[in-house]
Amino acid sequence: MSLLSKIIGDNHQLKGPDIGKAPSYTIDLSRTKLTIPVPAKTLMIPTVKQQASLDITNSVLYKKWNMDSRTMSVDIHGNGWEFKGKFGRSFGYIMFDVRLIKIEQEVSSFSFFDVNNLKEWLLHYVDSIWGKFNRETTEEYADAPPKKHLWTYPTSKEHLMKSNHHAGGVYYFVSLPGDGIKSHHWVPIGSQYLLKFDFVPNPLDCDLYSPEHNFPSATEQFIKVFMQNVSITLSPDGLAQKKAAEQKLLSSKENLESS
Amino acid sequence: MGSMLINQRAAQSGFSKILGSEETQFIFLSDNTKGICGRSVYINANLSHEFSKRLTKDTAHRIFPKLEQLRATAGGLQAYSSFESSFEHFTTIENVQIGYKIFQNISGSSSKKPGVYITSIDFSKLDGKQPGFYKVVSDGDNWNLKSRDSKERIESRFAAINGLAKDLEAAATKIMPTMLEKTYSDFNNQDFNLFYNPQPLYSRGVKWKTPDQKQQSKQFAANILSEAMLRAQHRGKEVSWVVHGNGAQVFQNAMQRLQGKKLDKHKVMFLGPAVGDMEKILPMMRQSEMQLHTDVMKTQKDDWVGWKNKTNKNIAQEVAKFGENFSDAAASIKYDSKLAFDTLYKIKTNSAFNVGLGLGALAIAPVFPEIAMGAAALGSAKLAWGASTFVRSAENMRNIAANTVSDSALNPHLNPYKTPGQMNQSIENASGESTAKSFVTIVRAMIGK
Repeated sequence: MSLLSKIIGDNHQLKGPDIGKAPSYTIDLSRTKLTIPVPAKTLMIPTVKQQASLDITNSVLYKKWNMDSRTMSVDIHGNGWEFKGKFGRSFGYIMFDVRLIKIEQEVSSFSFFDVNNLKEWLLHYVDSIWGKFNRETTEEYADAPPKKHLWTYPTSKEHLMKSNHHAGGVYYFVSLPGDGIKSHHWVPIGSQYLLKFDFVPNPLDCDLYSPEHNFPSATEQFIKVFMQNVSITLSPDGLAQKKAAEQKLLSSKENLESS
Repeated sequence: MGSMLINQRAAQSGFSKILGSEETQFIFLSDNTKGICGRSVYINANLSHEFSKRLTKDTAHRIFPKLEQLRATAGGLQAYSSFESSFEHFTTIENVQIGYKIFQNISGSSSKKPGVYITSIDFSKLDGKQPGFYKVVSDGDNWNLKSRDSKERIESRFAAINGLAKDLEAAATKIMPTMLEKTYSDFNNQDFNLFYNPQPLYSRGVKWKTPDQKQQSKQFAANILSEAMLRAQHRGKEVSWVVHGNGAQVFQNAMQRLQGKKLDKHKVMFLGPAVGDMEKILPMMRQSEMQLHTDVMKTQKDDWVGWKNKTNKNIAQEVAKFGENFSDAAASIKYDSKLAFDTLYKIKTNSAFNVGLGLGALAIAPVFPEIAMGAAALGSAKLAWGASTFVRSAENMRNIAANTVSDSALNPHLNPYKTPGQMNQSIENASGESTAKSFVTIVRAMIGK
């Protein structure tokens, strides 16, 4: 980067917040520790802040979902940043949310640590939102909806990618043609508890893939670095549940091999 | 192309044939709309030129079926016997807006045959997301935009018109849901329709080649809004609205167009109304028999974005005219406007003194946006901090200064429901520590550092 573009900004090196220099925020989720970077908010959206600790077993704190009454969630953190180029012109933004999801399962063998359970649950979840949107839109357009109005979302387990985050989990993308690509990262912290990290980028007053700027790659890079700076330390209970799920997976593999 | 005769052009654009004498100027839209099935649909021949000039093949393919549909859908609305006095309706497809009149009887001197007459065609001059209704759906706690496909009609029981917001998705999923939740106790995170009020309509210069373009685009937006309100009324559909900030202006334009048509199925609450003039909006609402939320309007004490509405003493009188149920609201608005008027007077008289300290520009910037914000520098603001306290309380000065700030934790305009205490708390939380530090936080946010 030349000295001049450092001073006045560069449309091909859009500037978001500096995660390395940002303060961090730690929340105690019944002995599971979650730490996230908190760069100063630069986007005009409401602030969401949770207290320093949360009793995650207390269902009263959660909001029940429409999908089914056994699923509920609580807001942990909300933030947002603009991405700026030359002379401070804003080319887009990212909205960021962290939520804790809890499910009251009847089947005791279910665990979010079991990657098959997690993926099946996620496929059901994404279908209940974006699948439903697409079905309604298709109906509105008498079975011939314009492609630009249809969401792209994971429809099979291959679309749910294994996260290389130290705490594990999966991530996927959701998008409408021409709009920013949302990325959702999910990390289990208990057999019935799941953390969700949502990044919603949108270009402002420009096309997403315009050669004028590097908004898609700037935000992709930002999300990657951001997630690398998220740290999760499981509670002893969570750790035990994780080990149990891994053990189960291992033994079912062995059974498969020996039979 | 330019030298082509009008009927050739019309034929090429898909119009069927010239109807009647030249002075009627109306032709059948196409062979399908001659009135064999449903109403006849006519189009002003002069518009065919506009069509052939502006429409691409792709858009024409979407527009024509829609125009042909008018023979059935237009029937749902009132018909008028006199063409000259009839009401112009609008249908909007993406960035194209078509005006039409419904004409029923042949009585009188008019030579027009009954049917639907397409009278105007307008193209949106706005880039990006178009004004219109967008559906916003909650999965329980997370809000999602159903699509980027703007609709002409209101489908939900709740609707919102956004004010200050960065874009469609931020307004739809972050800013407006909280406002609806605080206004209507029975909202319970139900789906709602956002009428997207694009903010470039209110920005100065930058995007507009001429002031006319901006005015036309505002009317384009108001046409969509008013038509949808009328249709909801005709379907007997109850809609509860929240109108934020400069959303009041698009609402005012819509009401002006509706000319007192009955709209008693609509209930409205104004939050920090700005740009639009409440003194004009309220009588129009009364004339249309619209319902007013019992609280009528809420503006955070330090929100000066809508300073004209805030200091207008006549608004309370207009509210009182809605009846006894509104006497409390009128009294409280009267009190607030008196207070606001006095405050404004104080700011004005003291601003000359404050300008010297670099703070005057900060305090009056939201009230007189023409005054550049550039005057504010961190150093002088700090200096002014101590000196300004005798003019007004430090918090007030700070909060007013925050009217132009994008952080909603700091900006009173985005927090119509917060009491002064809650607002101070929110600002101090956002900046971490002391009151003095929070002041610096706002100045930083204002000058973008």
